Amino acid sequence: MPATYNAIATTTLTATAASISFTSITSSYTDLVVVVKAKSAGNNTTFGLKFNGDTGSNYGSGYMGGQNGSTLTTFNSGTSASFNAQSQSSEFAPNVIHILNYANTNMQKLMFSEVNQPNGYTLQYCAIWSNTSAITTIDVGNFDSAGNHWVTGTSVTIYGIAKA
Amino acid sequence: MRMYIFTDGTTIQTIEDINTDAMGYFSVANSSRTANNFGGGIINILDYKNTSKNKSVLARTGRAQQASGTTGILMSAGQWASTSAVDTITFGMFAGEGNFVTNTTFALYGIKTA
Repeated sequence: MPATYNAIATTTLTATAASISFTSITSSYTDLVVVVKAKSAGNNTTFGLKFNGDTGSNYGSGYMGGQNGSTLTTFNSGTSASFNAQSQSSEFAPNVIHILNYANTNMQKLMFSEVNQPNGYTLQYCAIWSNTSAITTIDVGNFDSAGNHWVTGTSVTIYGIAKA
Repeated sequence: MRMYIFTDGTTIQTIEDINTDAMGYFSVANSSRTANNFGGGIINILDYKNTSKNKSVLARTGRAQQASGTTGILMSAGQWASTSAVDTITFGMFAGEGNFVTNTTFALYGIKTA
């Protein structure tokens, strides 16, 4: 990581869990980068981010990408900013999510991620939280059913990118 | 020169332009969006001061709204056919596409040499 990336917090699961939470996030950075290495206990490969405890339908997420020569694209709205890449194989799938201007109260919160899954997906995501509040809390996880919760060893780290 | 691959959430399209007067295609929100809805992205300029290489840019940009059908994701690459070190960068809208609005932000970072 470049020197401008400061690790704010990291959590590695020691037991199966629905989500990992980060609270009291400082507003002293320009952007946040969330690095997820996750594996599902079930067959669901999608996970989500919720901000500031907002569980309403205030999120949108889309992607484009490919798998084995086929192109993929879609867009969905929902109750979390959804991303792909929690593996169901023996691997922990990586996802790096870049949240722009997370503390800027003039903007809804836009984020991007790049995904490479062990089973052959490569995806580019763009997602939004339709809220101008500064992000102070992030919940990252699989919120849909207990059978798909994250397994032991799943880890999430949040980096802050230092202001100029 | 610049090229991109773009999706609106339904179809994927690509384009390449050569001999252009600016490098890169980047996505922003337009005036149809609510006041606080901005596009954005991350643009990497490689070897920006290496005087042995033409300058290349790689970017992922986009825009999104909660409502379906209003997204745009754009991955792009571009080249400035010059070996000069980059010491000035100007961002602007294409001709006829208006100006950046109030609260538009840009942040420029340098990645330190190892």
